[in-house]
Amino acid sequence: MNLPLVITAVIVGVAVIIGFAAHGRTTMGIEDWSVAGRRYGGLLLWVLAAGEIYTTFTYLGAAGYAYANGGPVFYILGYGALAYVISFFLLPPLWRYAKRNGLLTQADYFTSRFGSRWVGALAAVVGVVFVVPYGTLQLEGLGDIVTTVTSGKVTSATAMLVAFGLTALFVFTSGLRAAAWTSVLKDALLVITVLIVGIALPLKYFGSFSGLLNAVNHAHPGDLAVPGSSPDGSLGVGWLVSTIALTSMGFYMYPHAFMATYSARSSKAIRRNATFLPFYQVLLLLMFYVGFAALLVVPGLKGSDTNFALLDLVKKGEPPAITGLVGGAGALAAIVPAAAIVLAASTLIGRNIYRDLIRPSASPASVLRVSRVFVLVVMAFSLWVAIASPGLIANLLLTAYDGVTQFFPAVVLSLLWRRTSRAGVVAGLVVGVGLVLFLVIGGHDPLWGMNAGFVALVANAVVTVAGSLLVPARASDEVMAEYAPAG
Amino acid sequence: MVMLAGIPFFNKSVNEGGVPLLALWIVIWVVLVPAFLALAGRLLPRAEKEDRL
Repeated sequence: MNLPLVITAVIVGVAVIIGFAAHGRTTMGIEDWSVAGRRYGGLLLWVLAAGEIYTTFTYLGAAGYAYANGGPVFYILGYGALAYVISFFLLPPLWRYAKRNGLLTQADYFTSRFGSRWVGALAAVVGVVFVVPYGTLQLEGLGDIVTTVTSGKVTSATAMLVAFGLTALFVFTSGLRAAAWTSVLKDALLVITVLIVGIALPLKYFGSFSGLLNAVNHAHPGDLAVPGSSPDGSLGVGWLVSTIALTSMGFYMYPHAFMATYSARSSKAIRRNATFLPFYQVLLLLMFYVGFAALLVVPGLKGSDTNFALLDLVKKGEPPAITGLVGGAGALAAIVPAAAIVLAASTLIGRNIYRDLIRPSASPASVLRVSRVFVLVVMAFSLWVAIASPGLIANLLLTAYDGVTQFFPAVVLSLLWRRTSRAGVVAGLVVGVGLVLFLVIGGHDPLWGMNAGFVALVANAVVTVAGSLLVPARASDEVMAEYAPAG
Repeated sequence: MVMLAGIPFFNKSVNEGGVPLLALWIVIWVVLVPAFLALAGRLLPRAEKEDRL
């Protein structure tokens, strides 16, 4: 019997049951399905946010990044915490505006605030283009995890097909509730496995954390400092600072993260969430240690194989039961964000493209039907890309974070500056996204020692301001009051 | 200055202060950020604190 396979399968099975059960006895309207009726308090919102934020990319990627690049990995600790500071101040007024106007998607915000369904549709297209490859990445991560923990007994394609077929069905049935409740299991498992692996493995091989750091520093002098072992020393101080700035601003600009904010019961729940989420970052620190330990214990991993640093180390140093637990936790770290991503993408298509552009008279029930169908379409498309031609998404994926961050200037300016106009926002978004695609796909990242996405963001902000000065709007007092607290 | 800016610079042994620098980086992001936000939450105006629409 392959114990890791059995444990991983049981964990995924339990998650799927939870996902279906999350539907409860509710009669689902579009608001219930997409933002859980805006009823989530602090704890469930925290679990959902952590479920969406800490993905398979974090789970495997953090250790892999530490393994491949050394010191620059510490940017992850900084940007996460800084993103929560931004969210503490940025998200409550956005939540109030969304609640007062019945918004469900990120693109709804653009439609409503700038009074144009075309601006909303542009935001929807940009959101879908950048978020779907991120969902596909989760699929590929899941396939790799299951194949590795089962020592190749289950192929990557089979694992993806089964897990994500079931995920598509529970999202179809239960919507955001499925992502939130499966997050409870995922977060619990993630905390347990990271504590086990992140503490036990460094101590087992090096006696203490400082022993580990000294051993790495001795074997690879300078790797624990910026720019670490990054190719040509490209990840230097300028890169570190600009990347922390860029990624902290882009953190909540992913359509699914933005949309999850709408599910909050109150702005207090959002602020409490921002206060406590930084503690989750401690887990990432342990993953960095795992990556550093793997550098000495399982040396020689190159390129994308560095993402297997965690799994290789666990298989080498832990019993099969722990390998199974890590495999199950890793699979859920793929399934939960993928559920939220596919939900966001399908709601964007249903509301901001189908309803706003194709059939303005569509009823909420009809929009829900179309969105649900697109859950299956988006998931099938992701699965097809992941299995048939994984290289296709490589470039888009490189640009995903840089791309969604281009929403940031429009969102921030719209709530601070009433003259922010649709002309400025569209021009800024087009320039920002265009620059991201040109610089990153063209191989000009980093540019002038800085993250190319950050350069695009600055250009985007300048163009948005200039466009709004040239073709100004004037939001009324009533519109600006919709950001303010009640009373 | 580099240390104050919170830039990781750990190419030192424990005896040379490598781990304390790492600890500083962690304190800045994982301890001070929640502490600052908790304080900011307490200082918010009442209308903002009791915000339920």
